[in-house]
Amino acid sequence: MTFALFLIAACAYTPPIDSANPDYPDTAGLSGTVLVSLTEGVPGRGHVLVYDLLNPPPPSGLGSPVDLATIAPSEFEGAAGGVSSAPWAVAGLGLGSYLVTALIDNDENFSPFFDFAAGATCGDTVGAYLTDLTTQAPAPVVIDSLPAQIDGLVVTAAKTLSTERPAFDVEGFTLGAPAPFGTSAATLDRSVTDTPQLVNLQSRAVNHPLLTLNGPEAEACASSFLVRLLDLDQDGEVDPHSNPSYAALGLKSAYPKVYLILAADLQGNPVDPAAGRYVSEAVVATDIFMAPYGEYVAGDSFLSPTLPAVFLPAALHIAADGTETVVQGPDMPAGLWATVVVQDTGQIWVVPNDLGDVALAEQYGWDTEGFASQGPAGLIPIQ
Amino acid sequence: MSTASTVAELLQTVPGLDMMQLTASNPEVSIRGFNQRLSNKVLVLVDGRTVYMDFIGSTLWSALPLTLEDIERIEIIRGPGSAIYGANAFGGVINIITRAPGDVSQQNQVSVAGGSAGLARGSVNLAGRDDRLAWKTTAGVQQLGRWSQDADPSRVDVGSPYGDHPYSVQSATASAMLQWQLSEKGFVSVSGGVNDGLSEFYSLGALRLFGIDSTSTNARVDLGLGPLYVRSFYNRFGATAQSWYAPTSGEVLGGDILSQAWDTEAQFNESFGANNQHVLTAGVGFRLKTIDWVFLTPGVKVEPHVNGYIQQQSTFGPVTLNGAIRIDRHPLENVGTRPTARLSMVTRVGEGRVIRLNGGNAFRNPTFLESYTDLYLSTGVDGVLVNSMGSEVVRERTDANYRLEPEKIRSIELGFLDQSNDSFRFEVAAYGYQVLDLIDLGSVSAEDNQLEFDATKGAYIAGESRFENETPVFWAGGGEVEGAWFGVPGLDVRLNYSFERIVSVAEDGSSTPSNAHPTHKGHAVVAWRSPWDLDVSMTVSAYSAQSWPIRSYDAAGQVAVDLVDVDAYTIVSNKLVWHPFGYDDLDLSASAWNWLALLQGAHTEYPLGQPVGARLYGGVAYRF
Repeated sequence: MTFALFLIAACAYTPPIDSANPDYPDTAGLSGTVLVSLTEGVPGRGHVLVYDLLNPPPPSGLGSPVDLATIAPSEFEGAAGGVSSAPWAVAGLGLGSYLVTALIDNDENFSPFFDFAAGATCGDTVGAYLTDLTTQAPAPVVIDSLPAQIDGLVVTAAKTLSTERPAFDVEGFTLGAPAPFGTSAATLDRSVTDTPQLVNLQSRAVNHPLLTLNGPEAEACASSFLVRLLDLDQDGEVDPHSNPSYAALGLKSAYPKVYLILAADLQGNPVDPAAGRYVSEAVVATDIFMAPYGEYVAGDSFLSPTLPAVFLPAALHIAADGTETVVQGPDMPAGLWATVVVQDTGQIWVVPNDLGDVALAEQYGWDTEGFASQGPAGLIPIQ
Repeated sequence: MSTASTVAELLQTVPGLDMMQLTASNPEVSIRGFNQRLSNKVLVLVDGRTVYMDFIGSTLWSALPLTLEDIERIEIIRGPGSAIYGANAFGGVINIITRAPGDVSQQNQVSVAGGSAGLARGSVNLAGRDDRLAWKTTAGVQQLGRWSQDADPSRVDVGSPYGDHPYSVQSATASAMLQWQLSEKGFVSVSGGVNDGLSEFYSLGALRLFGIDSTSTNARVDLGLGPLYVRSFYNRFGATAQSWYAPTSGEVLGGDILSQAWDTEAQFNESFGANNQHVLTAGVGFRLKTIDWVFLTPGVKVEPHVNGYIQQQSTFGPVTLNGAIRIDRHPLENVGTRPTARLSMVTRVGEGRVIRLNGGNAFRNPTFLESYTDLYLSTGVDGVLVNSMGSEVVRERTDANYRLEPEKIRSIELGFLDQSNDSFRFEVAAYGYQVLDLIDLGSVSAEDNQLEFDATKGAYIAGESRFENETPVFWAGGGEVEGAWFGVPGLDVRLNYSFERIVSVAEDGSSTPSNAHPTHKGHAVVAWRSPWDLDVSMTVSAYSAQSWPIRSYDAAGQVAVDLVDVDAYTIVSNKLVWHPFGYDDLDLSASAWNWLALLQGAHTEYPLGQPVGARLYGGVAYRF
C-alpha cells in the first residue's frame, strides 16, 4: 500500500483545457450589495435588473433586462424604516456595457413572466448602481474582456414611488383640433402631414389576480398619466421639443413620452425581427392641457386621466445591425402599431399586453372581461 | 493481454455492447442501444450481487469494490432478463465474476502500473485454502487523470469546489471473502468490501459534470444446503456530490446522499427425470431500499420490494426449452405488481452447433430520482428557476392521478453458435425489440399558481418539468456476428461486427430514426503468446457517427433540445508483455491505449463528454 501511495504521489499530471467545451464559454459575472433605504417597513422582494447600455430601460429607452437577480425579503439585513442590505449576483454576461438597477417589490405584484406585471408600481422602491449619489446618474458597468468577474457593486434603492404605472386604453383618433377627446374610430393616415392627428389615451384601472391598479379616480396611487412640463434650461418657460421639426410645429418638451412601435402589418402578420424596428414618437399635446386646465408653470407635474398625443407621420427605423434611418410620410410602413407610454419615473405601460391575450387567459383561468382593449384591439392602425 | 484500465474498458469489444466514455471514470454502458448519461438499462452484478444504484438507476463503475486483477470472467446476457434477474435487467445483464476463494488454479498476485494521463494503480490479490476453509482478499488503489478540464482553473467567472483537482478518479478498494465447505453440497460464505474515492460523472438533463466523493460498502452471507441456496447482502453508498463547475456569482449545486439496500433471496433448485433432463428453480426474494438525498423531497424514502420466480429447463433430445416467469411487487401504487416471462429454445443441430430462439419481456422500475426528485434548476436568467419533479411529488402537489409507468421492453432473438471446430468459433444473432414508456424529463409547463416568487428559493419559478413516460414507441432491430480463430498455438484472433437501427414512432404514426448510438460497431482483437517469453496484443474498435439530443433551458425557462453530432472514431490499443528470463510468474508490460489520439487528436464519444486521449503506461505483475 505504501508503494502504491508513492506511485500516486509521484504522479504530477495536469489535464489539458478543453477550450471547445460549449458549456463553459468565457463570460462575466457581477456581484455586490443592494442597499435599500425606507422610511418605514422592511424591504419586500428584491430585484436587481441588468440592462444592456445600448438598450436601456425607461425613461431613457424601452429595453428589457438581459439578466435578473432576485433577493428574498428574509435575506435583507437591517432595521425597519432604515437602511437594509443584501447580496446579489448575476452570471453569464458577455462583452458590453451594462446598467444595473434595483426594484424592491414592496407590494409583491411584480412578475417577470407577464409584461403587464413586469414593472415598478406605486409603493415600490427603485434605484440603480450610480456614478454619483448626488446626481443620481446611473453608472455603466463595462466588461471589455472575458472572462471577467466584477464584485463590490453597490446598488442603491432609495426612491419609493408615489405614482402608479400609467395603465391606459387607446380611445380613438381625432383628425384636427381642438376636440381632443373624440371617440370616432378611424385610422391614422401617414400621408396627412398638414393637419395634426391626435391619439387619445384614457387612464384605466386594472383588476387582475396578479395586478391591481386603482384607476384614475383613486385618492392615492391613481393610475393616471403623470404629466411633467420640462423646463431644463430653467428660464421659466416650457422647453420646446428637442426635435427641431417638432419644435417648429409648436410642440413642447414633456413627459410622458408616447411611442408607437410597428407590431404587425394591416393583416395582422407580426413584424419580422430581422427587418428591424420602427418607432414613431407621438408628442404630448401640452397646449391642450394648458387651455382647458389653466396655466401651468414650467417644470410642474400633475396627474391627468387623459393623454392626448400628436401623431406626426415620421418614424425612426432601427435596422437589425443598429443603423438608424428616419422615414416620413408614405415611406413609413403601414400597419398596426403598439403604444408605449413612458413616465419620467421609469414606469411604463404598453398596449397591447398579456392582459389582452385570450389564450393566456384561458391557460391560467383568468377573467378576460374588460381587458379586450389591452389585446390586439388596442393596436393603432396607420394607413 | 487487455489494455483496459477500468472494468468498463474490459467490455469494449463485446459485440452489441456500447461503452461510451464521458470521462475517464464515467463510462456509460448499454446493451443493444438506448445508452444515455446515467445509463440505466443494464443490470450490473458482482458475483450475483447487484451494484446497480437504484436511486439513480445507474452503475457507478468507479465505486465498484474490486480490482481488475480480481476478475475471473464477465458473463453478459444480451437482451431483456427480468424474468430471471428482476426489474432493471432491461437491456441485459453484466455479471462480474471474481476469483473464487482458495481456487488453486489462481495464484496470489501483486501488481503496479503507472503512466501518462495520470494513470497509476496497484493491487494485491491473495487467496488460500486450509482443508474446508477457503479465503481470499483483495486490495487496490486506482488513479486516472481527467481527460480534460472543462474550464481553465484560472478563470475568474467560473470556479470549482474541487479546485484544479486533476484526477478523474482516485480511489482505494478492499474486499475479502471467507468460505467454509460444510459438506459435499453445503457451504457458507461471508464476504464484504469497501471502496472509497473521488470521481467525476455527467448527470442528467440540463445538469452537467459532477464530482462525487463516496464510500461504498457491502456485506454478504451465502448459504448453500443441497438444493437450497440462501443469499443475503447489504449495500451502503454514502457520498457528497457537487457540480464540478459553477459560476463564481452562483451557488454550487449538490449535497449528501445515503443509499442503503438490504436484500435476501432464497432459491430452491432440483433436477428430476431421466438423466436429470428437467431442472426446476424456484425462489423468493425481498429487498428493502432506503435513500436520503438532498435532491429529493425531505426525509428518508423507504421502498420494500418482493419477488417470486419459477424457472424450468427441460431437455428433449437435441432441444432444450427454458422458461421463466417472475412476479415483482413494487410499493408504489402506480407501479404495483409486474409479471415478466422469458422463453428460450436451444436446438443442437450438430456437434458443437446450436440454434437458439428466445423471447421475453422486461421492465425498469422508476428510480427514487424519477419518483421523488424535487430540484430547482437555474435557467438562463439567474432569478428564474425550473422545478424538476418526480412522479410522487407531482401526485402530491399538482395532479393526484399522475402515473409514471415502468419502462417496458419486448424482445425476440434468433442466434446460431458453431463451436464444432477446436480452432474456430462462430456466432451470429439477430434481434428485434419494442420499447415502451421510456422515462425522461418533460418540457416545462406551469399552472397559474406556479408562476410565483418562492421565498424559500429567493427566485421565481418558471414552471415544472416532470419525469414522464415518453409517448413514442421505439422499435429496434439489429444483429451481431463474431468469429474467433485459434488455429495456431498461442495465437488468438477475434473479430466481431454489430449493426443496430432504432426508430421512434409517434402517436400520429410518424417515424423518426434515432441516431443516438453507433449504427455500426466493429472490433478486432489479436493476441499472440510467442515462444520467446513475449506476448503481444492489438485491439481495434471502430464506431460509426452518432447524433444526440442535448437538453438545456433557455432564458424563458423553456426546454431547448439541440441535436449534436459525434464523429465516427476508432480506438487502437497495443500491449507488450515480457516474461524476463522465461519466468512466467513475472510480467513486465508496456501498453498503449487509444494511441491514435497521439496522431489525430482526442475524440469524443458523447457530445458533452471529455475528449478521450491516449494512455501510455507500464506495469509489473508478480504471481506467487
